[in-house]
Amino acid sequence: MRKKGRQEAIIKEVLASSELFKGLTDEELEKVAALARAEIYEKGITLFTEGSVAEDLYIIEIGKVAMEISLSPTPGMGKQITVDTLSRGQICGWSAVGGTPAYILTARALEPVRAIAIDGKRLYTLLKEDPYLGYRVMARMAEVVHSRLRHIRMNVRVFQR
Amino acid sequence: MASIKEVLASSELFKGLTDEELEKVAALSREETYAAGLSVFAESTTAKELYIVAEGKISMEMRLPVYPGAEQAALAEIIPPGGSCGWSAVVGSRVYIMTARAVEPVRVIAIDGERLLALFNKNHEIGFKVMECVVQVASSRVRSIKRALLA
Repeated sequence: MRKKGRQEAIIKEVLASSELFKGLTDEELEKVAALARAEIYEKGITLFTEGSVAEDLYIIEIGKVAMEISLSPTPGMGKQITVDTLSRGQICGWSAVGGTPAYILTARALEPVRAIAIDGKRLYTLLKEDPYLGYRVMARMAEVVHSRLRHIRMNVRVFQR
Repeated sequence: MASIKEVLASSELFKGLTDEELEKVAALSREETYAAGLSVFAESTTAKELYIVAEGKISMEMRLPVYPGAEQAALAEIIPPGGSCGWSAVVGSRVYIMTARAVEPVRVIAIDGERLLALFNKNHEIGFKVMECVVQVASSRVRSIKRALLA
């Protein structure tokens, strides 16, 4: 298979086993994959920073990602608190998909990370154009964010102690 | 006193709905009142209904482990009029993840979760709008946690 074809196949596979897009038909996965690209991050590097413009939604393929809040005036630098740790199949950066203009948290690679980045605006347009697809994906996102909110509350409580 | 439809129309979850869409959700809803101190729903029980606060305030509490075998109730959030709670009736494993309690006498709109989901499955536009609001409200609650941490 051509290198590009193999990349696309891997992207589709990652999407299909992710918490956000599992259950989508092959045709639907193709549409989302068309808006996606693979990215690599070295240990310690941020995928995105709290407060910066939310462009992409990320799905983790390999490695662990820490979600952080900054205690210093400069987001992403100085003292950070880790409020959640994510791994394969999980998403972060959902602010890129409609609504919020900026990322709420900083996402940092705890080890070498491979992630699929999806253009948030284009994904949102796709979801609005196809109500059936849009509803199912948005419902999944609500489920993920709901559960994430709970994890963060529990983890933050630990720090407050 | 505002009607069920009016309360829904100005709520954080249903404010984007058209008049016709609001009618459909109102049809699955009823008003309930709770005296101060009474619990509206308890953590770990079956999540049957989604709630919108019409009047008064609801406190959301989580049980957190302090040490093995011992738990403490921690206040997570206060829900004012227009706010919502009990999302577990339409997302997740259909079990409430927090306890909701009336801080003062409270009037709520209780929406049947199963029937609301059935409406979403039949009418994807309504489903999309409401789920998008859930995501946005959850995001704003993450921001509240951030502010509380930095305070």
